[in-house]
Amino acid sequence: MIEVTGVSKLYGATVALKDVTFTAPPGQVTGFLGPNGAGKTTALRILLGLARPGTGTALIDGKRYADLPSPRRVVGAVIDSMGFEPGRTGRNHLRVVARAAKISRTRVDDVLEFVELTDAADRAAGGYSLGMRQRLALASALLGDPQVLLLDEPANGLDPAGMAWLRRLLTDWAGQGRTVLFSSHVLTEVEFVANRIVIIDHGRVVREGVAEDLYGSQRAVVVRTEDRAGLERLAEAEGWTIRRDGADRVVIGGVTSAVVGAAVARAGIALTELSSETSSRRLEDLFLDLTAAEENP
Amino acid sequence: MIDLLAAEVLKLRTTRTIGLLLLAMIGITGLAVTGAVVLAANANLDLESERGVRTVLHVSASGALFVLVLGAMISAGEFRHGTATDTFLTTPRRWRVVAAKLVTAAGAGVVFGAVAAATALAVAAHVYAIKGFVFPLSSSEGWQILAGAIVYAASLGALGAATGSLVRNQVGVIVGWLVWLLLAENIVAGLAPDVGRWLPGAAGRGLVLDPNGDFLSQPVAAVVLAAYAVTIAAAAIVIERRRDA
Repeated sequence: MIEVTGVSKLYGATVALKDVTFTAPPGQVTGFLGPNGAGKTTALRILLGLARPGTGTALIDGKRYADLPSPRRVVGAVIDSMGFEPGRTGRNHLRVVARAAKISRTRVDDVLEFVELTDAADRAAGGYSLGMRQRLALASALLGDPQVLLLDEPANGLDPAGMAWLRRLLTDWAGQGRTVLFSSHVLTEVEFVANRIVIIDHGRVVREGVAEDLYGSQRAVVVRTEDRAGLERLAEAEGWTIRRDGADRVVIGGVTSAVVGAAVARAGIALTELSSETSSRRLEDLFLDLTAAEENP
Repeated sequence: MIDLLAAEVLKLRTTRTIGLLLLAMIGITGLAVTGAVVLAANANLDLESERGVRTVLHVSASGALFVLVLGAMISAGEFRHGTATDTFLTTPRRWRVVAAKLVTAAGAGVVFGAVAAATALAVAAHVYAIKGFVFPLSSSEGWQILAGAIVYAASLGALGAATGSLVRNQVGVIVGWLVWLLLAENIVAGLAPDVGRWLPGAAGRGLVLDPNGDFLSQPVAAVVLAAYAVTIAAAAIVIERRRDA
């Protein structure tokens, strides 16, 4: 369980985070979305005790990261500032982490196998591709078999097969009742796996909730009709919010196409088109609406 | 803390640089001792006298600069390569990290210093023979100097690690210390001779019984150098508590 409450953070005069509050409950994959520079990484760094919050608390299983007795066994993290000593092999990098965290050496072999790096494990990490480095960082996060996974842009550098592998990992992890929080600026990536969404922009949480509800609040039905006046009267009577889109096209928010279809049939209005917008389109709309509004206040 | 130290030692053992630093130190030590013997012989100094042994062996500390580099790598190097993040995630109480690195660097300094001392002794004995002298193995000064060289290497390792924790910039730490030890300290010592003998480089010269000047005694010099390292490490810990990683 991740609980961030009222966290603010200033870098000099720049507000990085302002009163940020959100949760990532166990058994769910929480997607942490925001444009570049929105404060995602800062929030994750505060959760990991790498940066200090100006105000507020960032707790994992009810404790600050620094107060966790064996943090590696509770939290596995991948964040962008992680690097590798170029002359050290992947296996030795993991052995170092395992030694300091009192994790057995056999576990090192296990995670190498799990991230499919065994063949490259005894080569210097300086020669790794971006995708291999990302896998090594993930292996390091998984060493302690943690209950919480905290991943900053984990899909960066992964090829399509790697992405599919990562999606399976996150879904399985949450399926075992563990907590997953991962940040991304790639919407399709989030949409595929996240059941919860937190959207952050300019250091503020602009939306948080269950993915389906969030998309649902943006559920839109597109209709075309020759009788637009009739449709608008119907919309008013039914309490729909509508948006005119061109001469004969109307977008109706917050309802399903079934509801619209039945009401239109009762009112005897002829339609030339009735469709609902696809979900990826809706997350993108939601995201752009929320983040653009902040940009031009 | 044992696990943390073991992890730091493992980090050191699994880098390629440490072997290169050790080789470089052996080379420099051998060269410095050879040069010192030849110069002293040319100056008609009695190489078997106390003065001769001190003149020749005090240069066995010159390789300690490589331990300073190693110390800076142990601490600041983690910020250069981004491994500090993993280290702080494993050990969020950062004073433990700073302390473990200080101890590891001092320990590595003892090992490096012992290798330098052995090199100095072997090379000195050899070049003495070439020049027609016998190295006085019974000279207590000789052994004191070599012990001092080991302590100096340990001190410079600790100083490098402590400064690296404070500044987090490996190149900056190394360049800063080289400029201080090779250049700035002499100027300061010239301006304020009373202060001069308490400075780190001069304390080091006291440790190896440098015959060219009036330096602190070995025990005092060792305490002074340790105090510098611990003070800088303490400053690093205080700052680390507030600093973002």
